[in-house]
Amino acid sequence: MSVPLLEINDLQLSFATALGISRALRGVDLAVQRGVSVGLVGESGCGKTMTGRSVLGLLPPNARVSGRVLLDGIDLLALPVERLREIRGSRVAMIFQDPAAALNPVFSVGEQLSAVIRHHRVSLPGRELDKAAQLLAEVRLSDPERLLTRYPHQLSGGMQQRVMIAMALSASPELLIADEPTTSLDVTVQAQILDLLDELRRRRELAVLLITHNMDVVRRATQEVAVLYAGRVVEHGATHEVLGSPRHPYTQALLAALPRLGGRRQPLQAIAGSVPRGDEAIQGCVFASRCAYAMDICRDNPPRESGAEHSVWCWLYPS
Amino acid sequence: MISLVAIALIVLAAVFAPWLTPHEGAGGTGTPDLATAFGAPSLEHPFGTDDLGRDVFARVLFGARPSLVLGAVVVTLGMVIGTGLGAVAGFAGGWIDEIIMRFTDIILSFPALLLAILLAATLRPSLESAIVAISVTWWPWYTRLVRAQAVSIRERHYVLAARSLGASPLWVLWHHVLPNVLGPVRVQAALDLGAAILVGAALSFLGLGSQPPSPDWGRMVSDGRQYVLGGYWWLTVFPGAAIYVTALTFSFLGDGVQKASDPRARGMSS
Repeated sequence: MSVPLLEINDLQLSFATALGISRALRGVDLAVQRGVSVGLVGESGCGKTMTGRSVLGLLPPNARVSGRVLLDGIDLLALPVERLREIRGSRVAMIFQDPAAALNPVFSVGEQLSAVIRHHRVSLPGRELDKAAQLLAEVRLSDPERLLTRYPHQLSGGMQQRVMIAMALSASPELLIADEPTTSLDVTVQAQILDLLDELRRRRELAVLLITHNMDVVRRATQEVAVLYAGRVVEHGATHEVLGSPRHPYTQALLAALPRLGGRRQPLQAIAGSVPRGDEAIQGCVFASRCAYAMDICRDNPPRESGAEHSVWCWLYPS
Repeated sequence: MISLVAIALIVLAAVFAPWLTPHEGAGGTGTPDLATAFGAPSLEHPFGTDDLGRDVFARVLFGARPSLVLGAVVVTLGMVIGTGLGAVAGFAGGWIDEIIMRFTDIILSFPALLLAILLAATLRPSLESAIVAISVTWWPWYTRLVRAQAVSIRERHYVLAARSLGASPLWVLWHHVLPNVLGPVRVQAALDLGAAILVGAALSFLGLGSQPPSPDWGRMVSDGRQYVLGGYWWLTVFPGAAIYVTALTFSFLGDGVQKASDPRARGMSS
């Protein structure tokens, strides 16, 4: 394996709140290769979004972060904010769940795109609108010239998300963090956006970190998937491997909980218990409290990574 | 629209006052002529003449000038200072926010009119002092309005999106916060023009505005007051009506601006 574009080691994140320290990430390990789309899945509150935002340093003021986030060998967590700002947009960009909220309602599409283009100086002065139209065409929006004069509320959700993608790609980043990019869209539009992301990934050698809770999205749009639970990655491997033969008890339970069409009628499987709260200290495996196979060692010692291509962090698979 | 036309008429009347009346006198003060003092409204003097025989119509026309200047300057100053401080406070948060807003609260804790009277009386009474005094009491309202807006805008996703694309705090302030607070500020400013003119009239009624002999609505009402019981109603009614109509017109303008400044409505019509 080549050196990954993005490598996250032991990323820990906690928030100082009035009630004490709340831990959001308990040591995330993750790697994303160039030109590969990696899905980051997990239940609500397991730290998916915070992992994505940590990469860009877009965290709330009360956040405390440790570990390493290496982009091409540069530790983003150690960078001063001015240097980090240069990386945002030009090397790493992000798109969000609700494109309607991510566009400023008082400016036209053309104005917003040109502002980003001008900021990153990716076109000749005065030619920003041409570049903007070109980007809109690249995200498969028809009649880009006319679109430039439109305001966000005049566009459909799918078009808004395409505009966001165009904006994110304007300075040709190497990594795109997509935080639930299709969650607020219709199912048919979801598929189109995912196809577009896949096309861009191949054409631009773009690395994508696709944050989602939807297994169908993972299956359709990623080559690798990392399963996050309570602020830790518990399993990481090729998408078809992880979804086809899940190794970690949490991944197995998560997949078993998906409703299926056809076949035998059976009650939906829920995972007993709930995700540990942020203020709970965890000695061993983060999933031990809900795991059907939990052993004594699971409660006392954090599991080590085992397996090279298809990694799992679980005592059932000794390294 | 109608209010816009009415305001245009008022402003034009103030600007072209010398051409609208033959009784200009020195600098619009009207020509004192005791022989014609207390003349009832007539063709020659449509609003009558005052205790010194000056044409009331001319003085009402010229009196629009200090009122309009005061309203415009007070609102502009209040808007610029208040918006700047409010945007910075709301956007920066933390101790900067605390300092700016506590200072704002201190000013707001004084009754505005009393503070203005106090300041105007402390300074040498003149139109300029009145403007300064009212401005000092005016900006905090904009600071509050803008800060509240800025705090909410700071949390919007498009700010997060802009930051994810490398925008600096200053850039976000200029491109996202200011344009989005300007809508409410514009409405407030239009509504405030009338209110500022009213306060200005109140100050000059108390003798704390522009000084005689220059014409001023507030002082004309004040001066004419002693003759009302003598039946000389036109000395107070016409300048009073001028104040009333102007304030009301600007208030209508504010409503109009409010309706017109909604970006959604603007988009529909394009």
